[in-house]
Amino acid sequence: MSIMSYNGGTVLAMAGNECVCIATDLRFGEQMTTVAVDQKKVHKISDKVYVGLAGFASDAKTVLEKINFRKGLYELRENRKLKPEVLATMISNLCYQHRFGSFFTEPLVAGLDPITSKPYICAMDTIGCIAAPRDFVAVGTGQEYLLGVCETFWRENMNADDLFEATAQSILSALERDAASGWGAVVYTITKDNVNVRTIKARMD
Amino acid sequence: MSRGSSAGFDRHITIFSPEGRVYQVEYAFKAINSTNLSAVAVKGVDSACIAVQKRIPDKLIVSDSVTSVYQLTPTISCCMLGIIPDCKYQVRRAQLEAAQWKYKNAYNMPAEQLARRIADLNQFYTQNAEMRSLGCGMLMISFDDEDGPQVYRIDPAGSYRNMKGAGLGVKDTTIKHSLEKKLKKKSDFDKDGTIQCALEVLQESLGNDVRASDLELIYVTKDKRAFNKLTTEEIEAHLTIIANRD
Repeated sequence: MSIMSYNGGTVLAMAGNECVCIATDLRFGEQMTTVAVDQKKVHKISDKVYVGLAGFASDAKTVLEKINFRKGLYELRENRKLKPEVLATMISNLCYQHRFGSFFTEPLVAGLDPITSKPYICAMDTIGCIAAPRDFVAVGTGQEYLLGVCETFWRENMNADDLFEATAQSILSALERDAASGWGAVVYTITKDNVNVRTIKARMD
Repeated sequence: MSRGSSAGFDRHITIFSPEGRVYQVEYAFKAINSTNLSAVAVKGVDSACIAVQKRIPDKLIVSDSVTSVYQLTPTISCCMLGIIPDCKYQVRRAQLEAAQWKYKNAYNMPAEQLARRIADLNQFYTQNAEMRSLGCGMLMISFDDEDGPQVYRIDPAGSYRNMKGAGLGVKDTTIKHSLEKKLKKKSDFDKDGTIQCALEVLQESLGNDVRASDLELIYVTKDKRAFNKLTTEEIEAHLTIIANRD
């Protein structure tokens, strides 16, 4: 039994032209038993910046609380909104502080710069090593299933609708294959004007 | 009172004098007046506000960077007067305490709890030789889910009180008398009434030639609990209403 696949769950993020899409499955299990079917692994940190936390659910919840703590103090002290790169660095530092007793969760940050609307996506390992490619990132039990499919669907400079389609189809195929993820997906499409949340029905297992 | 002998050190650190006074704490109170500013806080039926004097000490300073009002949490705002670095330190400490509470307890720290925490820290400094008291006082406003609008006054001695109306700074005695007279007549203000009451009291205490650009005003209401600051034009509009009323 691996701690990272105890609860199950997959998160995917893709970047397009002044938009990003972040998608999560909804299953929450304890090894083979499914305990809840409405647990999102993606959370809003600020209007245009979202974070996804896959892996061990208990640590994901704790890390989320710590992120919200630091984000609150940042915004009060600096009197400005968090940029996604800054949030990624904050989370990375938080994880590396626990280098020898780490949180068993792989964070994923996706968002638009609050001023320039430039898209930013990144994923980290459990001790905070940031990998910020231009195209897509995936974390969780369905990670390997996702990477190949994303490679096919992703193109340069997709607009919000195409990006949504690509993200939705990719996460659906991961949910089909991965036993520890499933029960539908929720896709957030973040553009500079609004955030569109769509729930997708997949095979409900 | 019999004069006990003290070696003269009771003025230097936080120990008692023979008369039972702690001089350092009294000096801390005097430090609040060091910038010569005053502030008023008033609460109404569903709103609370703080009006504070603004003075730019040096023509070279960027005027937007001079402020005595701060946001402590998404539901609590405050005004601090006194030695400015001490004020900023205490604001940062209050923000940290409230953030830690939210992290530990998963709900926003109520104003009373935060006021008590700041007051306890102030008391700590009055009993310890190694840290002096902070030379600053705080007026805190919040809209509480259970108790409605709140105004708290916290001083360097470590006492905090829930107030119907409060003053802070050089003119705080004048403000206090002004508020007592006003609140005896009417205390169930709406939002504009609260703001105008605070402005009127501040104007009376400072002398009626205060302009809108010399004032800062923040308010909280049931619907807008976060830090809301009035622009100079809005303050001007309220001052005009007050002037036309008289």
